[in-house]
Amino acid sequence: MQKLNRFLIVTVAMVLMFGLTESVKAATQVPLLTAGNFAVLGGSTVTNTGSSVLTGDLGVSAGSAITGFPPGTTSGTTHSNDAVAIQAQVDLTAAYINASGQACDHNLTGQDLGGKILTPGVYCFDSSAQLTGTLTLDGGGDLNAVFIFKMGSTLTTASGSKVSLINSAQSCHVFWQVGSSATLGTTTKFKGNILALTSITLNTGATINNGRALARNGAVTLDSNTITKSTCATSSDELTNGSVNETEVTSSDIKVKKTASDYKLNSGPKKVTFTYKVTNEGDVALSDISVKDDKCDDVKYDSGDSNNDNLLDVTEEWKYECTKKVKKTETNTVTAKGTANGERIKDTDTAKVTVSTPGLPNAGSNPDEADSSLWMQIMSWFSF
Amino acid sequence: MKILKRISLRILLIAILGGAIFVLALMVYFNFKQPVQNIAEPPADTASLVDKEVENINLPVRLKIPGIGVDAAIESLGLTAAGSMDTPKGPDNVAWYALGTRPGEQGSAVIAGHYGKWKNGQGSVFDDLHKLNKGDKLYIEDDKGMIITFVVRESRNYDPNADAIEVFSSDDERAHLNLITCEGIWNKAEKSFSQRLVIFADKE
Repeated sequence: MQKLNRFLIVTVAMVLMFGLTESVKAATQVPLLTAGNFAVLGGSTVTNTGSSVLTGDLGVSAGSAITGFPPGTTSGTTHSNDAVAIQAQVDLTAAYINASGQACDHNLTGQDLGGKILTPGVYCFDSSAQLTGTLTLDGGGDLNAVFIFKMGSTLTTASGSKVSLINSAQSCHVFWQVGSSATLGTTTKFKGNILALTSITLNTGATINNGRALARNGAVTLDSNTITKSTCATSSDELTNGSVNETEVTSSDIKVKKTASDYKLNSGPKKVTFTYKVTNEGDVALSDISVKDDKCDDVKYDSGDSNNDNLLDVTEEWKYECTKKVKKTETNTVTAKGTANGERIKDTDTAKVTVSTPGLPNAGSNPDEADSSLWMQIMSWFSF
Repeated sequence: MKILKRISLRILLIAILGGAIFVLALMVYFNFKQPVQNIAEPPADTASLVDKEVENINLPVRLKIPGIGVDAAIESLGLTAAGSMDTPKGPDNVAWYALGTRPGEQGSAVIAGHYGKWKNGQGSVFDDLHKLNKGDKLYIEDDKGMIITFVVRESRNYDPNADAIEVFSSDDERAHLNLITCEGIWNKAEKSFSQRLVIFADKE
């Protein structure tokens, strides 16, 4: 009996301890089941413009329309209201109910998520939620830390805003339960699984790396986005060795602006100097910069690489020049190219120089008016 | 009393006759008067004033063409509303096309002057431009007192509406000075002479 008692006591103690520790963690992992195979799952439609890249399956149900693929691409399988998509919606609904049923730890109604550093838990908004700037989720060293955000109505992120994960926080454990629709502003860098009742819209250049866009009833609308479905690392090695990649994909962007020393030549052909200013509008330095003008041959680098590393850094503005004799009215175009993230990107700009020659002067005087009477001539020298 | 009257009448008549002759003489003199006096060529040995390799070309203020007695002030002008080169208001000055090249700079500087008679019978500064020959010299004095010399190369006639690209610009790397005036027949309806005369000159 004593052995049994001891066993029971130990078991109860363990259960209690486990129960206690469990109850401290208010947010629990939301099981996605087959919905977890998808990067994008729509309810009514999925509509894409631009070269969106999805890693994961793409599907829709109960609607069946998926447009824009290509130019969009997906690494997985596309399911248009087939059995797989139907089952995924069932599993999404269960996941949505699971997330919305978890008790709220912190009510953030009316507060902007931007600038906050949050620890694991359930955060709720009575109506809408807004992110402007950077939201940091701190896993506290716990690979299993879960973050749940519940909102009564909309989720909106401002252009360029960002979700940042630190200290073992993982996208696969971040959930956004959206009571109506979610809208990510342009170039937002988002993380986590969006489970929306109605629709999800990603504006131009927004990314979810990693996470998912799963909409129950409405449309998922994409525009030049990347969405990589999240996977969970079970050891910290997987995070550091890259098996699970939580590092942000940086965007690359180049811009060139062209000006001319003279836009209007009034006396025929003349030498004009064109100046080109190239800037890096993305997050990552650009290499192999080339600047070419379609009507000016000798484009020369002038200045701008302040740290001399041969890379167009985000803070730098590189200046180039080209001089030519413009003989007749023409529009010429400059193309600037650079490489980052394994792709070669470019931008163009134009300048129009108008050349006109004046007409010959009317340098004659009317001899008729010179006919004068003798009297006029006398009067004229009187007025000397 | 009668003798006195007769004497004074004669004196009066002589006086009037003398006056008339005087007036006539004056008229004859002014009719044949040259518009300008003889202009001496600038002394070739005054090294500081004669043109040398000038990097900064200053504004032109006077044009001198001793061969045809021209010594004129230069006005700076631009375009008329119709897009033609503008002209000086009076007969004596010449006009430099200030939107273009300066005389002495690489390119073609352009100066225009009037041709023909004015209200009072006075002539215009470029009445004798057509008499210039190849090799004749033109001198520009700038606002710092420096002289730049140009040598006449050729002359050409143009219709008033001709394309003047070769008058206002050049493709070689040299400095040119082109002088424009009118010639031909006066067209009353157009209020213009029928031709334009251009003298092309190169910096010496």
